Amino acid sequence: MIHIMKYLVSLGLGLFMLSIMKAQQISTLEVTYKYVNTGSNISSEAKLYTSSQASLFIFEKKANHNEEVDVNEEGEIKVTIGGPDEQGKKIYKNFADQKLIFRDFLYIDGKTKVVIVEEKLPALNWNLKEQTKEIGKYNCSLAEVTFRGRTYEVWYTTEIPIQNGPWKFQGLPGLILEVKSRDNNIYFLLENLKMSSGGMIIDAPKDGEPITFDNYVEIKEKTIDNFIARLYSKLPRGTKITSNPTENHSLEKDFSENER
Amino acid sequence: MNAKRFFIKVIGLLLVLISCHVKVVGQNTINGRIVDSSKTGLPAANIILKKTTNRAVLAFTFSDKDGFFSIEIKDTSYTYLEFSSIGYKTNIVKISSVDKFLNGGILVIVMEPQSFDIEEITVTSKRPVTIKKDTIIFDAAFYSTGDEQVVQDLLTKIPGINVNEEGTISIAGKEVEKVMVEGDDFFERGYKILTKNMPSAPIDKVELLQNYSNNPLLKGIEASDRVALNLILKKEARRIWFGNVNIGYDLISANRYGIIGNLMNFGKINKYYFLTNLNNIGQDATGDIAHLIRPFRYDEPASIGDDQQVNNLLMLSGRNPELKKDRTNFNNAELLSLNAIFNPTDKLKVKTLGFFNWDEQNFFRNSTQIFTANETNFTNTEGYRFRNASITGFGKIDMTYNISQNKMLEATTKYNKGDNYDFSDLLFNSISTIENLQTNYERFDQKITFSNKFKKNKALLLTGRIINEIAPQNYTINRFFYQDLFPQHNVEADNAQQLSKNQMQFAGLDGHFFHRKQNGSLLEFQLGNQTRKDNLLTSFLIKNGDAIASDNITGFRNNTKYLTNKSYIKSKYRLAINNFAIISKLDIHQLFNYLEFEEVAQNQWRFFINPTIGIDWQVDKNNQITGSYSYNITNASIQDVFSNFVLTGFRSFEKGTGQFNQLDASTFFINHRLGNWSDKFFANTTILYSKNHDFFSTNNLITPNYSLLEKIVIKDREFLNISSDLNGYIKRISSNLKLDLNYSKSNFKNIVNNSALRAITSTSYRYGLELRSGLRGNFNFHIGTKWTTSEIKTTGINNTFTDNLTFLDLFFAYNNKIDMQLQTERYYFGNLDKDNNIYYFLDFNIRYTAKPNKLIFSMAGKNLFNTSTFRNFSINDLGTSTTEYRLLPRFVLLKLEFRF
Repeated sequence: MIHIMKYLVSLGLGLFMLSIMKAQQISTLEVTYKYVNTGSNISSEAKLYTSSQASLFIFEKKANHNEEVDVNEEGEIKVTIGGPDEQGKKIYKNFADQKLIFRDFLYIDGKTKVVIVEEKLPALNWNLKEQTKEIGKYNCSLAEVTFRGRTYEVWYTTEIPIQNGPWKFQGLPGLILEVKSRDNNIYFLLENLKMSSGGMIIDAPKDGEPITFDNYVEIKEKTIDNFIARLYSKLPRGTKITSNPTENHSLEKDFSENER
Repeated sequence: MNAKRFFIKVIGLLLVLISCHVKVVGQNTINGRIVDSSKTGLPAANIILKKTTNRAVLAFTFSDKDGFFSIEIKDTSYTYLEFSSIGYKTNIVKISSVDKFLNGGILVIVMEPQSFDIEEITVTSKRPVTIKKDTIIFDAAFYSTGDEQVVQDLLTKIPGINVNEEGTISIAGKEVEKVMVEGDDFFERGYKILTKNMPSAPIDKVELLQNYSNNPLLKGIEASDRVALNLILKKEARRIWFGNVNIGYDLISANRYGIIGNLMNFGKINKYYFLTNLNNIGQDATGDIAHLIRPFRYDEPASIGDDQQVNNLLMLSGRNPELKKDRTNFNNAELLSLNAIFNPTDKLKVKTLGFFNWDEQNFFRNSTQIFTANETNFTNTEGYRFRNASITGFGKIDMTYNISQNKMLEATTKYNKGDNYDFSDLLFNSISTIENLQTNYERFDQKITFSNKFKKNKALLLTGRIINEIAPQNYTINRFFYQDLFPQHNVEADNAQQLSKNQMQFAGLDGHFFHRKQNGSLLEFQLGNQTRKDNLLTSFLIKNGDAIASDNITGFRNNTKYLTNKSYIKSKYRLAINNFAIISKLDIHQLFNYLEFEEVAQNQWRFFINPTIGIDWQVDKNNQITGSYSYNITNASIQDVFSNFVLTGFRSFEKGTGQFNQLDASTFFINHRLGNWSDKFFANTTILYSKNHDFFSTNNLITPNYSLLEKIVIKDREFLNISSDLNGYIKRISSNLKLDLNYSKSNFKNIVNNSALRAITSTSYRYGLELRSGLRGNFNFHIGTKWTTSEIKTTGINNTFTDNLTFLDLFFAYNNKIDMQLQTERYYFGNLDKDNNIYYFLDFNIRYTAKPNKLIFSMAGKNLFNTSTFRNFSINDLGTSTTEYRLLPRFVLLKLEFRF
């Protein structure tokens, strides 16, 4: 009897859990942000599809994000690496497994490669501030964090208790509605927030060559450094090299150990 | 690091274990569990501490996988605990009501299910960046941090706008064309005067204009890859005067100085700009405003008549050595410039510009010329002390009237007047000689352009221009070297004079049609008529003291009237198919020439076609080939057609052909590029071949005291140039090795002292090697050497020489405040005698930025080895010449630059 009771309870519990999970799957939020990367002249949309367990963030693929390597005789350099396909850059977060899988483009030996990289969900050391403001109709609180070479001011609302946000940001007790980097380069600004009409499957991106995170970091750091030195050494006579040559406008610019 | 981290982890783990098992924790910690109605733990729920229910979050934590949590209450002002999770109703608990759990125990929070649903919201707020088709608008408020002083500081804060230490602004590697204020601009490429001085406070928005067109109606129609910035002022911005002063004073001899002052005032409607430059350090003061006088408009629509000007027959200053001009220019310049822009109505813009320049230049040169042509051998020596005083006045008014959205009328009126006094004290073969030359010139220039963008992708430009220029010259020389030429005046002649008046009138009308096709191809069609009328009057006077011995010598006076009228139809089409483009150009000309001298008039009609065909082929990512072929017929100008001799130097007379000429030429050009600038290996090779089917050569009669040079038309001149530069990046030393190779050869013919036509071959080889570091630290170097071998071959002459230039530049940047540059050069002349064939130069510049864009101290040293003379060696088909120039002595300028 006891066994049957236990069985029934666990079955009921299981069914209940299933129904919750189902409910949660339906409760997918679709958040549209304006993504601004001032330095790379990007002002485009980016979308976050999130439930409380997993999320998929997609940068809008734009025709003008093509790879662009340009330099002039004064030594100003710009590298914008876009993608060779229509899928664009994606970030998948899984909160249960505490992992993050992203799809990105790397510039290796003159070619753009699509890669799939897995890393641990970054542990962000949030610094809570007392400032509040309203975004849309939501009361938001301010938090600051330094992540991969930039310090960000982040506004989130506890009125939507999803611990998620755009790009790799997460881990606050509410949905992140606005992000601004202190160097003015990066912005994620809320444009629209609604319940997802469904149809979006939140799953890890697969279309690309899987490489390790360490490998990814190594390639990224090397390409930029080599690139800059190569360009500088080609300048004509009398051109002055400035102490702070070229700004790196990419989202992640510092992978040094304590920033990871 | 790792050990420390491990230690912290262990401690953390221990603390967790202790808190779990003992369940006796610090007084201010609340332990609890969040469960649903069935008492199952809820994972990853939010536990938030707040002061009031809607104020900022003070601390938070998440429940673990079984719903347990632990939160520390650090401050008594923490009053509320908020529990939330998706799919549940948020629970708010006053800490005072649960304070018994502060001492231990488990606070159990039961969450009530609530379907998660939110209303859709759309936020529209100010954006830091707004991107419209070709315009990117940055909202200054987003980027300003309040500590900016000048425009440059603000621009520096906008990522993507790159401002280097010199203040050069570039976007995506391309320097900006100009920085406008409310669409108005004074400075063009000289925008640093503005960006380094204008306060940033009144700036509301910064607009980045891509594919910029100087004519706004051609935007999106003409091909352009230019970028420009436009600053929009705040509505309530207050007008203020601002500017800067740059003062330099020589520490060594204390008699050199340089002062530059800028003063300006920019409002939404009117703008003013004043500039002054006083210096005696060899700087050309008008260089600061050259872009204001003649805006850089290369190959732009509506630019007819830009090449129309009077060329003076006589110039005393002579050639400059291949050195920076400020090494030999002993000057004393004073310049004052006043400029304004008015916008009296929305549709009308008036821009005025005026300047006065006084300059006094001294130049010293000694030369030895050895003539060895056609069995005439002699040596001339010249010792020149040259002085020039000039006064120049310039005024310009630009008016732009926007008739409607798609129609615009622009008018530019320019007037300039100048007086030039040249004086030379010459020692010619030990004979002391004085020359005086007075040149007065006056020029009036009026241009009107009407632009009509009558369809979205079609535009028509109508341009009319009138130019009137007159430049009389009066030349005197206190010796008479031409006895052999004028034997009948041998007795009485002891000095000479030449009076000339050179006048030019130009009128042109041009219609230019643009059609940007759907597929992106651009069709251009141009129809016009241009007339140029020249009148050249010269008379050579043989004098005895003040008395004129003869002023009417046959063959040495001119009264030439030359009129050319050409009607033309030009078309241009660029057809692009994938990575291959064909550019075809067809210019059809109907020419009418009229020439009159010595009461005899003649005229000529000629019809001709100038075709060009070009390709632009992007073979693959690493290879690009561009090439073109053109056949070009050019009409002779006044300098080619006048019929009698004029004096063009103290011992040279020159004359034109006295008849109409059109010269035919074919040109081939091909360029191959391998790799990109940024690649490890990058090479660029160009081959240029041109053949002049006819060309102007000379029939020379050369004697020690004078030369007669007569233009003649000869067939077939060839020119070939092959140049290549190869760049290889050496990773190990972060440096680029560059190899520069150049070969050129030309064949032509001329006549010297009644010789037959002599074939002359001139060849030159250049090979250079450079190594430049691209280190990101505070030191960099650039070292290079370049050898040039020149060779001239003709009957009886075979001259060869090899020169070398080696340089080493060092750059130090200690920090953001101090930087230093050191430049050294070594010149070697293969054909000079051993004691005089090597010259060294050392210059330096140290800058200390006390306050960025506010106060800068710098020290500039020039010619530190105090090299007093510089000798050049050159060869041509008539012989060789050695020229020695006197150089500005060593000076060290202490400079102070401040903004007010």
